[in-house]
Amino acid sequence: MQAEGQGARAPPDVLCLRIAANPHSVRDGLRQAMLWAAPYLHSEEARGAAEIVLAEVLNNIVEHAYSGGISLGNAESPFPLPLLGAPAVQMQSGADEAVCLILSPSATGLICLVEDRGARMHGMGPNASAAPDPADLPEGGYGWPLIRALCQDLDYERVGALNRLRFTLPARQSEGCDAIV
Amino acid sequence: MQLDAAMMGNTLVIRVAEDRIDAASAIQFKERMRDLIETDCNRVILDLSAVHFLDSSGLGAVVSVMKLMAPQRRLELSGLNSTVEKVFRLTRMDTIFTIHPALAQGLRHAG
Repeated sequence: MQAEGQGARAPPDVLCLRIAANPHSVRDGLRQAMLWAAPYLHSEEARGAAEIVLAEVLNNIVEHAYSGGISLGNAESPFPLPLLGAPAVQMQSGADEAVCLILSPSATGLICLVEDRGARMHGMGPNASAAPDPADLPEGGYGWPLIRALCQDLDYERVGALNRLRFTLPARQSEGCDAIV
Repeated sequence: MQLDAAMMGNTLVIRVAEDRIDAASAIQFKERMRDLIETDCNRVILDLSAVHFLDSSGLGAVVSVMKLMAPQRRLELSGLNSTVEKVFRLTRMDTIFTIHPALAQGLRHAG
């Protein structure tokens, strides 16, 4: 488990969370991830941006990739962990594990790897979907535009039955970030 | 989802007494708001000063409430923290809603 209060800054390591594909598990996972990530993000601004990105990524998976229900081909080993060659810190587990979130520190922030076994993200990839027009009062469609605006090095690939999303959460968020258009 | 509503003059003030409006609570929020905005009033201010985090599902729920009130009334917002404000700004929804820095300013505002 990640220890707290053991010095000015936690030593570099890796956080691995497995999160069930429902909104309440996403909320719990997000709380754990932000608790762990806080020392690596150098402002309230950066922490807020990171929480938005992680929330949108995880919600997209629950609402879109798994919208047709979870169908794991191999329920015993849904993810090829550990992916980064480091000991996994398993803070959450359960029979319906569906999303794997891995965070590791880099020179500029936190590298994030998110994997799920849901449907391919058609039209929902990082290079698709323009930001909705606010004048239309849209009730959705903000997820990817927010993700793109607030993270760096976003990359999505389909690997066999896996959706794999990689991105960096900047340790310092530039102030006055403009709209997502 | 706890929402505290009070009439202040002709203005209905609804304070969100939760720290998040997210995918786990957006539907509850929308349903509670739908009941509360039935109240006869000229203006509705949604005070978000206790809300630390709002995701795009939460934003969508706030927008849906705005649409329920249209065209007679508009939903005004107050007390957005920097993260919540960022979501409104990046999506340009800050151009759609009247946003007051704090509830006191919202109540002074003529609407």
